[in-house]
Amino acid sequence: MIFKLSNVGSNRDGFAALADLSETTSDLEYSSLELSFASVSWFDANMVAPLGAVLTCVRDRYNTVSIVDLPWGQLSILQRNGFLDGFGYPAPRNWGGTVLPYRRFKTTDANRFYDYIDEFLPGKGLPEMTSDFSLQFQQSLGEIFINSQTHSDSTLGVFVCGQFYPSTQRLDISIADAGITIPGRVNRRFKINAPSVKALRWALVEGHTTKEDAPGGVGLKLLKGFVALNGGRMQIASGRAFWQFQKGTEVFDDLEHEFPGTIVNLEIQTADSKAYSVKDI
Amino acid sequence: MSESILIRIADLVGGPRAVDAEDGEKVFEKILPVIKDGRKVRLSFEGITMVITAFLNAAIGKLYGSLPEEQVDKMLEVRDLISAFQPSLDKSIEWSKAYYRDPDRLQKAIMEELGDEE
Repeated sequence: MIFKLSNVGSNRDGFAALADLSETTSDLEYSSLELSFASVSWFDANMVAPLGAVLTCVRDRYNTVSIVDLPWGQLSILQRNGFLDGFGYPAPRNWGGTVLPYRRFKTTDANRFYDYIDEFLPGKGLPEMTSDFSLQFQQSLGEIFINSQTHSDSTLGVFVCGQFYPSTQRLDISIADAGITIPGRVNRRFKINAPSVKALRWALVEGHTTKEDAPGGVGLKLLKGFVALNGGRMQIASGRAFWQFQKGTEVFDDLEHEFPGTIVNLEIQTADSKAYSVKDI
Repeated sequence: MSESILIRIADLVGGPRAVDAEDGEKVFEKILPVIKDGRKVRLSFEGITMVITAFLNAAIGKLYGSLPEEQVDKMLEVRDLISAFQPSLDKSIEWSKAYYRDPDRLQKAIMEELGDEE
């Protein structure tokens, strides 16, 4: 099968494009997928995290996957963050100063995730933070990672990538899994059949959880408070549900196609001279 | 009154981060018999530089499912926790108490909110 990918930015259309890829290839088994970038003029580097989740699902069904027709610009971006290593392209000589490289973690690898954060997050344009706020910020990133483990039951892992875009003064970090979606988990846990968006909306309330004996919604509160002040945004796509928080406003929407897991995107404005402390949130 | 027992989390998790729920289970298993035995526990986070809620839920929150609230509050002293993580500990304890008082609370709430949706 040949699939022609369209542009993938860190936005609803980007999620929809990857969900379309997933749904179109969902019946492919013991076969091959050629993913063509011929029609792609823009691909946000961090979005290789959810792309990696989709393609890992495709490979998991005994398919071979190749990436073809890469224009030079896309080749350079996807090679630099290490995504193309697994597709027969040479590994990058260095990451460059703007990349949080593509990584696939086991869901139990919280310690390795923090090693990654410690190594690659500094120098990527984060606004100034007090020591306590910085710890809570990193803690919240870890909570998002752990949530992937908690809600997804994914055996294929958690996929992470980030990119600092100096020209547009933003830092985007994507964390994706290829497990049970959040709406799927809510419906299964409580034996109900709620529509995807309503189930996602319920799951994002602080204290709501699909775990038997643990609080949920952790991690989101501080990050939402931070991006509200920073002018950034957060997005979650899970199954057919999409959520975005920007400028203090939440938007929920249905996706036309089903993403086979959950993507969390965090976008931070790096042209932000404010200094953040725990009292701000 | 028996002497209190010091349990160092860094010794149990083998590193500076308390970020794994399975490590939290290990801590829970260490604390529970001591309190059941009528001894106080001083739980030290000395040397721990990162803590996440999943660890706290497993290590401390679960105690409220195994022992009376008052007994845990009286017999467990948490110390040396970096102040940035205190809100997570408070939240974990608050939520765990609420959960173990009424484990079906969430099920009832979601049935009221979403149970009729199709």
